[in-house]
Amino acid sequence: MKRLYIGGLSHSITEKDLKDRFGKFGKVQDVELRTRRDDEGVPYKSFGYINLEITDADFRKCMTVLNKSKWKGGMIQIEQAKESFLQKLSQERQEAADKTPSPNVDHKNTLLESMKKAGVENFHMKAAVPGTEVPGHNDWVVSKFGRVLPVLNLKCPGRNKIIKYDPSKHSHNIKKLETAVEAPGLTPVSMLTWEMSGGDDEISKKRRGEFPSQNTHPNKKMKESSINVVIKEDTETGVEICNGSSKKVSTTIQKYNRETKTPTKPKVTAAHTKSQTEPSVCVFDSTDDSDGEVGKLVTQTSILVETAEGGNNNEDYLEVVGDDYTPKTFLGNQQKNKNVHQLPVALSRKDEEDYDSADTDEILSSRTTASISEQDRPPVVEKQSSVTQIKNIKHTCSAKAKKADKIVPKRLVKKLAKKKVPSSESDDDDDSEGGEALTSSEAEKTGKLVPGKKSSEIINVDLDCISLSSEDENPVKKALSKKKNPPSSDDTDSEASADSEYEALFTNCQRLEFSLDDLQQLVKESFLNGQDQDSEDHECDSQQPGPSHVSEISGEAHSRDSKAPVPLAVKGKGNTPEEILAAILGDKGDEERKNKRKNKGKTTMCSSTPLPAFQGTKGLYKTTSLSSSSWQCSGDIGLKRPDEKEGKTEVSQKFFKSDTKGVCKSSASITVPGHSTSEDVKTVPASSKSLDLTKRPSNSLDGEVPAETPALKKKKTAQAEKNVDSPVLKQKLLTTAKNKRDVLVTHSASSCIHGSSSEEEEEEDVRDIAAPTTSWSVPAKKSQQTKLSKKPQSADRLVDAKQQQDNQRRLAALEQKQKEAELQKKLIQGALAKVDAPTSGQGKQHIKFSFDEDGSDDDDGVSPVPLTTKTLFQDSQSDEDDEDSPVSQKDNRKKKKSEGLARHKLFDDEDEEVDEEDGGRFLIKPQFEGESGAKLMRLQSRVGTDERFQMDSRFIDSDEEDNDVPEEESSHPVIESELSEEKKKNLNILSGVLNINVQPSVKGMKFRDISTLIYDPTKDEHTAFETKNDQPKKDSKLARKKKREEAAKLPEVSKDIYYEVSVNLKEVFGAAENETTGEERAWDEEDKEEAGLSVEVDPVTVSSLLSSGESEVPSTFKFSFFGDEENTATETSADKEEYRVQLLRGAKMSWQADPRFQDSSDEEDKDEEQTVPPHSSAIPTEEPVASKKASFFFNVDDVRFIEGPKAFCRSDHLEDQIEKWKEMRTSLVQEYRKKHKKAKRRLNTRK
Amino acid sequence: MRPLTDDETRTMFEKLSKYIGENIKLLVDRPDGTYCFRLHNDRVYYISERILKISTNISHDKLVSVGTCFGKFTKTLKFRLHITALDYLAPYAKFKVWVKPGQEQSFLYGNHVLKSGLGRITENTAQYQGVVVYSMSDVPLGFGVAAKSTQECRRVDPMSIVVFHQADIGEFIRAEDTLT
Repeated sequence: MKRLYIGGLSHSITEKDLKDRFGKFGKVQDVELRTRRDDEGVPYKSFGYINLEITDADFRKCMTVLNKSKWKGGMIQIEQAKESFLQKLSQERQEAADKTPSPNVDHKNTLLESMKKAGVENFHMKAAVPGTEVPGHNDWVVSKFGRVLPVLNLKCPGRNKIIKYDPSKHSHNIKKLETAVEAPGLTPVSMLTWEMSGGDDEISKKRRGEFPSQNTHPNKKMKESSINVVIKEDTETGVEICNGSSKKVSTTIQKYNRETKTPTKPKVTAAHTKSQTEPSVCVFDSTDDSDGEVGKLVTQTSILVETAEGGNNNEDYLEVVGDDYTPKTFLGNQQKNKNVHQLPVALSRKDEEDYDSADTDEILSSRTTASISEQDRPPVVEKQSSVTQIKNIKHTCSAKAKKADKIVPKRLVKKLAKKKVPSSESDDDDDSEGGEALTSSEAEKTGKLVPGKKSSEIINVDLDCISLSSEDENPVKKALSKKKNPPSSDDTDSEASADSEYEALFTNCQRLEFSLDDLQQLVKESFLNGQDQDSEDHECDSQQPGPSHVSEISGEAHSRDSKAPVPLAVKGKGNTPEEILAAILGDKGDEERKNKRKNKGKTTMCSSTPLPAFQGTKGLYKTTSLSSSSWQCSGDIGLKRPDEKEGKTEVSQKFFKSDTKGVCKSSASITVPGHSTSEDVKTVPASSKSLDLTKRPSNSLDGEVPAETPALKKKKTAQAEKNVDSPVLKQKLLTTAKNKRDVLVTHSASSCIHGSSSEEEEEEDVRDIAAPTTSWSVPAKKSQQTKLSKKPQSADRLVDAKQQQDNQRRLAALEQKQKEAELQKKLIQGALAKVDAPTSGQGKQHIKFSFDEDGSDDDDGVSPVPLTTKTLFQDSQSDEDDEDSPVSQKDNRKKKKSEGLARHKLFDDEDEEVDEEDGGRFLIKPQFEGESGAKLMRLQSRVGTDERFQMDSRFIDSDEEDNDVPEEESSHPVIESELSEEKKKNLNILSGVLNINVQPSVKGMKFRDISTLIYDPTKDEHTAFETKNDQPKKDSKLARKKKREEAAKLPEVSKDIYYEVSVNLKEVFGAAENETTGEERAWDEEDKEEAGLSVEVDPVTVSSLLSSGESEVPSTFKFSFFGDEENTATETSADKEEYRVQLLRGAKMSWQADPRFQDSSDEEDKDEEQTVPPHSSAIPTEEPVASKKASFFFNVDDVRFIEGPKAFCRSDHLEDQIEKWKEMRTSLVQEYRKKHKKAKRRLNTRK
Repeated sequence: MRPLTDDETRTMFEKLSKYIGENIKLLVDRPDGTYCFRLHNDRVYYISERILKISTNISHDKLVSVGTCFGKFTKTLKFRLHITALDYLAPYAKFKVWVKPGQEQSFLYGNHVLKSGLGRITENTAQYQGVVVYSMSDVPLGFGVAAKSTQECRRVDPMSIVVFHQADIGEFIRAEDTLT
């Protein structure tokens, strides 16, 4: 049998083919075909093995025939192969099985049998003591656990010696074996498999060669550590997407996109507004990364999503954090908690908003995608950025104006960020004032009008319809505006405009979602809407679809800005809330109608208007976005105006204001002229020239001013006519109309806007009163209406019908309200008449200026006028107060916030009024006067305002005189103490709950800088800083001395036993041994002492005596060892010395500067004295001086100079010294021997 | 409005201690002023002394809310924390859970936190330990109770609940009418 390798087969060959082919030469037993495939599964090599039962001849024949032959497109290569390993294995096993010798088994069996006879079963002999020989088997021994083991004779390979190994003797080494699991029998060869059985765990998978797919993390370069957070977020989202199951993928990607967007937003703003603080900046920085990586990440995620294995990898991303992990935003949080109105808070809020707004973004983007795609932009990021801009601006605004801040949070709580956006928008559009006004109006409305609500609801529905229709347009507009703006003006301009656009968008969004929530919002929105559409229409008319969008935008912007004030004006006009509502509603209805019609129809209008108008919008936007303060001013003016003149003029003024502001913003130099011109326009009836002037300086704004101002004037004039019916004004109107013939088209356009924006009321008024005189303006309006009528009402039929119904109702309401309003107007006029009469129209005009922020525009003698206006205003104010409190209140509020002299004055006046009114209120009632009164008051306040418990003087305690003073003071502390008690109680409970000892911090947790700490010895706490002397305090000198004596006397007992020494050296040595320090000291001074000491006594003993004797055992001290004459001297000197030393101590103590330290160290002094005195007494004559002059430095005639050399010279003659030495030597020898003996004896005794 | 009784205080502290442990002390004993807990309409308010004084001007039936509402006592006299307390829980929280951005929304809609949404967790979190839930950007989102200990969290499958939802800032909208 041969095994052949057949190579070079074509892929199409099957086993059967091979079998057939080789079957000719022999019997084919087994065919094995292998195909190698590459990664894609395409076969590139196939070969086979074949087992043939073949003779050699046949094999040779086969080789010649088939080898290197072509078969099915491949050249066959045949080689003899090694035997299949499986076969080999089976063969080997077979052989092994065959070889197994039977005698072996037999031997074992026989052994076992023979053992069995001896009581051994399976080499185990139970209940046998280890070491017992198995009977009958000499070389078998019972070992541990009853195991029967053979005694072995071992021979070391190197040596001849044979060792007998008895397992019973080493049985302690043996451990009991678990009953070994029978090894699984050999699996038959046919059952062998390539499969590795194993669990699902990672390792077994790896063993099988399956490796989990690797997730490559996006490599992020972090610019700053501070960016980490943001980036982390990004990456996390990415990771999340990777991990998320495939179901989630779509949503997660969306979110991811959103996330990536959000960071991108602040980027532009960061460059744009510098008021941003760190966190946002961080975000900004990070966006650089994210910008580039957004695409990358997205692609990555998409890839990863495919490869993701589901939730398996999730585990890897579960991060476990220690207890001490502190989130980075906590600072912000804490600040929030403290309600600190600071930027961080605002920022954090912004962050939140970012999230929320992201949603809206999404909505927006989803809505606008179609339009965007049309526009071929990379708009998403831009959009977002602009959105963020808006947000930022809003925020800054809010930061600036606290009002806005207040409003924003309020709404936040109620309606979250989506709502917030509108509110802030309203701030932007109408100033903060707008928001307030709205709120107030809202309050009014809600308070009073049920019908109003209904109508508002209806309106809402209408608005929704409108917004739906307008939705499609808005995004386009937005994009277009973005496009258009940059070329025409600066980046900032474009941004601003974009912002405004976004606001518009946002409003739309709101409308769709929260249209029913807020009346005010809706009102405003409706206005905006209507205006937008108005402008759109009227600009649509002028241009082709593509550009028409642009015009729309501009128009929209126009209208928005222009109309933002309108609602206010409306409010202003209608003194009663009902009026306001009705007016607004009417407006809306009209506008809506008009808008719809206009949207569809296209009339021919001048094409030149849109662009300038657009610019104007830019300017306006700038104003809105950048100058909140200016807005405030204008808002103030607007608010004040209505009181005097009624809303329309206000509207126009506002308009104007905004325009002028726009001019200001665009070019600072223009500001003054712009202002002045605007004033002129307003003041002088024949203002066309001035208008021109305005045009000239503000070329960039071009059409804006002309387009709007005339309209404003018209309105104003109309209003004025209405109000005063003065011929002059009419004339003015006419003149203005004439002058602006050239701008007539624009006029009409603007009038369109205005017509729509201004209330129906207004129009009607104008029509009714001014129709004969102002022939021009009426036609314009008529033309509008005709336009409206012309326009086909195709698309929103249903809506229209509904709207018309609504409008009819509203109109009816409006008419009613107009009448009321006219009545009120008359009243106001009457009040104003006195002041107004002399200046008539001018006076009114001047009022505007008086409230201008900057007084720089006083070139045309306006300065006197403001005063009158002020007074006027006050009057009107008072009137208003009488008539209509809510409005006036609203005004007041705004006034308070406004700046400038006039306003201050106003404010003061108001205050005075209030004072007058309230003065009585705050007077102390007679029964509460004095101390007793105060007490009574307190008593009453305890029971509240309940009349039943009204307390009078009877309730006052009679012991006033005692308590009065303290009680007054303690009234506060009473509460305090109560609270503190409560706190204590709480803490107690807390400690009970937590099972820990919670103690109230007495002084709060104060941080103490240890480096600045100054040690104050008088403070008890500062004892902690003292290094304590651990030396035990001793009661007194005497007591201590007694102790010493006792200690010293103890060795005296043994004195007799040993030696009789003339000097009680024993005692001395004992002492010396005890006090080694003293001895040492003595040794040190040995040289010096030599001179002063008597010769008979060796210096050692003397010194030791001195040291021990003098200080420690004064009672037993004997002075016989000293020189006779010196004895007394030394003693006295020693005494003196002691005293002196104490003085020195004193000096040292001053160093330590602790009085108590002195006390404690007093005893220590004693100890030190012990060492010092011997020193001094050793050289009695000289030492005192030396110690006196203990200075480290040398004087000229220092004692040490005299003494020092002496130490080097011999004081005596050499012979004397030798003699002395000899004498001393004997004693020393004696001493030595004595010691030697003593030592010896000691040794003996020990042994 | 009245101070809490001892029992009430105890129940409240027990509840609070699940989240902030002994840090309650920092709430009770504040260095920046005196703060106290007051019961009003079954709700517990955390008020500074200053506000407390001011609030005395308002009759109790007119008073809607004062200070920060920590929660309310249920009819069964158990204490239930409200989301408004988050401002005070978050800075002192002992155990925290960070939720991945994908599950943020889900959590804010009142759902439990699943393992798949768990981004990060404090180590040694025991089962049924009160935890404060954060977004990955460390914005506190709410709080809940750990359904699994940290160790268990590592093992469980992705769809199992890790944190039981108790309150989230979404309630500011959802429960607008009841929150004070």
